[in-house]
Amino acid sequence: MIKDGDYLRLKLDNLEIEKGGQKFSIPLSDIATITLEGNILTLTTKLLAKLAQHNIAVIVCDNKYVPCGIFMGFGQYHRTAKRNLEQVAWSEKLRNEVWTEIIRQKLSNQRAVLIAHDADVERIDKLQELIEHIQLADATNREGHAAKVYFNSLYGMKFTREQDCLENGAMNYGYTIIRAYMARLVTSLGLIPTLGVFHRNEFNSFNLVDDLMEPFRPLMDWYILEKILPNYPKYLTWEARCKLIDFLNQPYFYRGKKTTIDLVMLDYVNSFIKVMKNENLSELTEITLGGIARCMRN
Amino acid sequence: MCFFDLPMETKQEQKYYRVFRKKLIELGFVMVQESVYVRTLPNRSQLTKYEEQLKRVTPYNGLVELMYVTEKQFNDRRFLTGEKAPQEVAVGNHKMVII
Repeated sequence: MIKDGDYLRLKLDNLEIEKGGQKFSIPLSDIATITLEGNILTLTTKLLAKLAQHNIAVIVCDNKYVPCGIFMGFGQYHRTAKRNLEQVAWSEKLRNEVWTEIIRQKLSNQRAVLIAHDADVERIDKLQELIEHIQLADATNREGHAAKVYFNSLYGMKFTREQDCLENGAMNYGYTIIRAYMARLVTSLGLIPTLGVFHRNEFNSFNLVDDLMEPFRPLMDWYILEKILPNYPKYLTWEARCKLIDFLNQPYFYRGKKTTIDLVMLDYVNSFIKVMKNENLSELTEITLGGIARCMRN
Repeated sequence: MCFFDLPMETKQEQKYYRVFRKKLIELGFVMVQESVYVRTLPNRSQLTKYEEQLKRVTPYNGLVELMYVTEKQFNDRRFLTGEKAPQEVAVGNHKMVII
């Protein structure tokens, strides 16, 4: 994360950051995302080109420190065409099944967040009931109902996602970070981000990204409840924002091993590609709240 | 960690030195002091990749040594005089770098 730097430039495959007369350099091959904040930073075209080649996602924030843009590589994967054809060709049936599974994972994680935060048993049961009634491709929009039950249980009955408050600010910021990283994974693996599983908004160029990030949202919600809201109760401060970005580096317990969220996300996208290719739904990686919660409590 | 001592007598030798040093920086090594360069790697299997690339530009005469230490061992080194460079404090081996 770079705040109010003076200059960013490329130096022998390293990102050189100049700030207050001091120079720092970081090898490009070690970078996954860069978040830029502040209004006076200058960077070179040569650097941007190299960042794209290294599949580094650059997140730019506006003057209210809210992430508002993503810059990333395009067509850098060596077999893009093959992947694209796979993505166009898969059957409607499988696509519906995958979407059902994604929604099931998301709602299960939402339920886990409620349990972790001692919500009313009644509401947890309600969510469980919604999970059990998910139909193919979520035809009856259980997702929407669940969202209402879920957010109201966490933040009170009057809460909506449209309000201008700290909780929403933190969530919007956090989701943008996941979204940017997911976009980076999707494009770097040669998928077309506009062709989604479920999201088909003709105005959205990241339909697929929005599909794939769904199960991770409750994980971010939990992280915000645990780490952000208790420690930074008033505003989304600089430290709080850094902490939100650091979500991607949090430990995650997966298949008996300790790894990090960013790597699990990579695994998830790879498993999604396998599902498409082998037409086998069971290969999709299961994302659970337990994965992250178990590591952080210890 | 890479230590080296390369002859700089002739024009040719100076050129070999420049190519070598440039490659070190390109590969992401940072200078801790003259002729001592360091790079952190995510895991052991990456070692060979960097070693191979360095070998290709290593001059025949002179002395170039590589040493592998864990992050902990490197961080625990003692300073008899001098201190860590700002670069190392800010970047080091952190997964998230805030500048």
